[in-house]
Amino acid sequence: MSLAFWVVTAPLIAALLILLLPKVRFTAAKVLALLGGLVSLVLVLAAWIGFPGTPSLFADASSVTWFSLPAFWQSTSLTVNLAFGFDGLSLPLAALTAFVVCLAVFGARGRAEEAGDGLDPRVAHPRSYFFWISMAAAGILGVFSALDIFTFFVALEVTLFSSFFLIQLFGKRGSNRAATKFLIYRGFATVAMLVALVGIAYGAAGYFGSASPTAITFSIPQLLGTVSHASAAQFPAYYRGALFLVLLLAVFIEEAFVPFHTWLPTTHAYADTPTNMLIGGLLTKTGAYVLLRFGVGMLPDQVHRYGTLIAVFGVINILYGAFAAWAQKNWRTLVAFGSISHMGIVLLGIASMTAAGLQGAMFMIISSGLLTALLFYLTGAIESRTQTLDMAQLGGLSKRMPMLSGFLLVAALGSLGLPLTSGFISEIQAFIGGFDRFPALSFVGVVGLILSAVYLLYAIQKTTFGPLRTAVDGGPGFAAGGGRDGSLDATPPEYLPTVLMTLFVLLIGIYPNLLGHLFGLSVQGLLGIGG
Amino acid sequence: MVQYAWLVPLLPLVAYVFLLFLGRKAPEGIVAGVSVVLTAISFVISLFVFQAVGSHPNGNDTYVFHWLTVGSRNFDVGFQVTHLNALMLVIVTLVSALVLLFSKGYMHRDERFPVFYQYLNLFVFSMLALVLSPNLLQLYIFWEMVGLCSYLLVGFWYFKPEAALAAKKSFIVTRIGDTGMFAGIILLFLASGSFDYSTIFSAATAGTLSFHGMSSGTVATVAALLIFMGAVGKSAQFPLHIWLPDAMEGPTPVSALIHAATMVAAGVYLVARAYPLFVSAPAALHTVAWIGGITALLASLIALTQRDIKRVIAYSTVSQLGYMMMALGVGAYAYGVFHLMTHAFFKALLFLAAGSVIHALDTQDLFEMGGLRRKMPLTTYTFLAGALALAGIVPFAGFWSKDDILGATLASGHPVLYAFGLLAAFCTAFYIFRVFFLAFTGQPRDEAKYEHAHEGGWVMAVPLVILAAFATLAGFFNTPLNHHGLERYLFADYAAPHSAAGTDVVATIGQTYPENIGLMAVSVAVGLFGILVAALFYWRPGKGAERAARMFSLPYQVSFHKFFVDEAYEWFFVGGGKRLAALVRWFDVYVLDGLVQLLGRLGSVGGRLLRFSQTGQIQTYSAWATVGLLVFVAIAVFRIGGVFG
Repeated sequence: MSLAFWVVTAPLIAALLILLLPKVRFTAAKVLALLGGLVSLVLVLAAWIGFPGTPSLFADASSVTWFSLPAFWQSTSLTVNLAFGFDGLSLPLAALTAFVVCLAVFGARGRAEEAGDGLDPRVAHPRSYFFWISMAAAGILGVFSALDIFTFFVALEVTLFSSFFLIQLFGKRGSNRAATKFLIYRGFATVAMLVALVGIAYGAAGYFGSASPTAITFSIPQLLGTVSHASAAQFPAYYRGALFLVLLLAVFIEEAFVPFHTWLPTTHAYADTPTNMLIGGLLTKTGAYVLLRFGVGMLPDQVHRYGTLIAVFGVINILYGAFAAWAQKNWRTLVAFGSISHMGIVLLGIASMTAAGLQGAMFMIISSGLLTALLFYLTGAIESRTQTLDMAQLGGLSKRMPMLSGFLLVAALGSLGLPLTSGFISEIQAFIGGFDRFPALSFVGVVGLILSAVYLLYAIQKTTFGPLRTAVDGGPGFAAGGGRDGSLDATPPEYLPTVLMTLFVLLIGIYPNLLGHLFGLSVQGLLGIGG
Repeated sequence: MVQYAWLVPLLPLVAYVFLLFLGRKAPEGIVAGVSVVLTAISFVISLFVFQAVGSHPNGNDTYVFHWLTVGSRNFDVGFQVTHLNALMLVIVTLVSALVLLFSKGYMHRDERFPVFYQYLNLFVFSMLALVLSPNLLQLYIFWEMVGLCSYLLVGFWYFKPEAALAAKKSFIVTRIGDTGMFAGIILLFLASGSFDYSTIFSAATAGTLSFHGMSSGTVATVAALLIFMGAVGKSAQFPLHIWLPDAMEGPTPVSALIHAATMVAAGVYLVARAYPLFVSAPAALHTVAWIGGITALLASLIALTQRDIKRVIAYSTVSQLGYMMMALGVGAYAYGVFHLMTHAFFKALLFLAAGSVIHALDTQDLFEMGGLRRKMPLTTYTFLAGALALAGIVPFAGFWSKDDILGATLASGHPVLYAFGLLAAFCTAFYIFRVFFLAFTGQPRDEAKYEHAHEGGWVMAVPLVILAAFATLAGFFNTPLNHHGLERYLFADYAAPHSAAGTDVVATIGQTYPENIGLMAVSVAVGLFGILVAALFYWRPGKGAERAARMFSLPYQVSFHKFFVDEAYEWFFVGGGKRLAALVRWFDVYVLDGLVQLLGRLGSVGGRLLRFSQTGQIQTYSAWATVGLLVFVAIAVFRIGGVFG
């Protein structure tokens, strides 16, 4: 078995162990989940180090035949595999996933004392909590490393219901509706994606064409090699276009693009911090990944053809997300809309179908994942002290929490694309691509750069600057939380995730070739070498 | 020597990292000592670099390495030493070292003293790295970094709501300009294939910029105007000038270093650095001249009536930066840079002297000062040197550079702009001597504050004296007496054979303007007249100010309220933006999400309807199943061409 296989199964094994062990306490379950994540992380890094520098090659792939249907339909056979492997695109995404999962698990904690609404469900049911976190982790890792459409869907389904349970069981009071909304939206996206991808597999085998069909394959590497080269007679453009639009619809919902985004702010408003980190930092990046992997990878002509449409939606997302974020009064929904705005830049980059645009989109996926997770982590830490993230009730936090406030500022600066953070290098590449093909649209889009500074610095000013607000100072959290000398700043265990995530935001910003040399390979593969 | 120029920014970076690890409890002496010494070493190296470029046979030295590979192109970082850059290194390191020393006294016993020095060192590093950038991408990176440092330092006293607001405002307003610059840089990259100055210059002057079928001249004009947007924001030019006076909420050494001498001059530096591009886009150059002229006049009019000592000097900075822009715009490249240099010295001096006053009195209101001449003689006379330099009185530094600019403006055929400049020169002399008379002469207006006024010790005195010497003498770097030494130094960047720019462009840049004794006399007379009027109103204790205000009630109010620009922006842009944001939110909650809710309702109604199909009767089910099968077979036969085959 390859590394990729174990990367995915490590959290899965952890999840099963958590389930099998009798009556586990909170810490024990957490340690098991953390171990699963750490093993994944180490293995991803091993794969990264051993990654060969050749484009469009899935290194270290492994495939197990799950089941086979001989003479499946029209005397062709169908083999369904469990296959995993990495290429230049999926490896950094898998690394990001394993990294954020570890930190989310590490940062997971329950309120020990009984609050107004009874015992914290995370404390009451730690096994269930960490089981679903580990399942979600395995699912997301599976999505990013799947080399078979069937495997991909299994993984996608796993993320769907494990996230659903995380939101519903462990979210805030009233998370029921949010969880349902999440399930319906993403469930629908999964169905649309199933139609599109199975359609592509059939199309590649020639079922829509005039020639006689060949054997169906669900293998992603094979499809990447064949679909875009398939002749018009074999796979008519009409079907490709239709399938692409279905795929695009799925991506839009999955990625929470306007106007299919309303599930995302609702989810983030109700889910707890580790769940928000998983959903905001990782799960929402699957849509963009799908667009790159299956859209750009298999139907490049269609991406090109519908480029203007995609770019228009990209710019709409940038501006809509930014304006909506400006109007938010709560940090959670602000971060949610900010991430929608960021993903608009991804859309613009992909629509350009240029090396800079695609690479910028890939950078932005990683950058937005890191920054969203970091922002959710930090605001979560602040909320655990103030009991609120309502900006009207916050103010002057720098006085009592200088380090948390400082890191919050760094995260905000990264989000608004300050140079030497990951945000900037992503934005400039994506916009180079955007301006290359859609100068006028991109010019409208760069207004988002101003708006991101407006909503983030406005929020920072309200939260950490200014005089310490008495409403906050006298709040219950201020009495209960905090360290020995009455300081409310980050505790040592809180430093670890904060510092690590910040470090990578800066590292990518200062030394972008860290990701660039992998993404560059993938871009070469996607555009054809030299393109 | 030139190949070691990277040491100049590196040392402040070392100081920054060192202080970061030293932590927030480090003793003040070590913190300030390390910072001052390392920056002073940088200054010495800068002097050697300055000298070496001058004697170097092949000026523009560039050292780069690949930072990021994008497709078939590379983004490079590195450093480049030109004559202009070398001059900037000297100015920045000198003023920085002095301000770092001054801050030891000014920030004494501040709770976050080490943090202040961290930020300042980070700023000095970023500013020097900006100056040495070999390409527009790296320039943009450090352009934003100095903006960040400005944000952090303006908001240094974060608990003050005004400081919090001012920090945010400074970042966002400059960000508006920076966004245009971002687009401009990308445009140039796409049109020329590189971020490098030299590549862009040769393409622009040769007319080979190409982008989406636009002509090379159009691309150059659009790109130059977009890049100029960044300069307008950073150098607080009209219409983005509104952030700089508010930025005075930061500690005064910050105002001296960042908001007078260095960062705000970066916009002027940028236009000077990208001069071949601007020269090949005459429309853009024309815009630069007019924006500069309007800013110089507008800001000097506002400065006439401000009550806060720092705000007067801040508007003065805006106005002087306008002069520099105007100089560059009318084609007087060397004079713009020359004024940048003299201004760095005398404006830093004025701010530090004002800081000395604020430190002594604990107020910034001019009408709580008075009579300080007796208690603070050193501050008084150094301030006077700065004021004379700013007012353009012979032979102080500002006289030479400002007069060069005014002369070149008229000689290049811009009589209106010359009139703007002359009027602004009158206002300048008036407002700065208004400050001088109000603060230093006459009787104290606030006895309690006057009581404990005192000089700030040697750490604050030494920088004042050194800067006063420069404010007095720096003009002589470029006079007929030394055959315009600075001009010749700066033109060497464009001398054959190593200039990337074309010959027409080089000719335009290297144009010189002869001295005009008549014009010089006019400017000095105007300056003296301004001082005289200020003396009439403010020298003797009394009601001079109120008399002046009553005499010119309407213009006074307009000037005092800064032409209501802030109010207009607040209403239009901030208010408009907020209204639009609220609209988007409303649309999001009630229309989009409302629709989803509606669909949800429909879904549940549909579910209730479908429940009726659950009859529990096998016959009904099999009937439906048959229908379904028939439909399927029909599709299979007509569409695919057979069920089994």
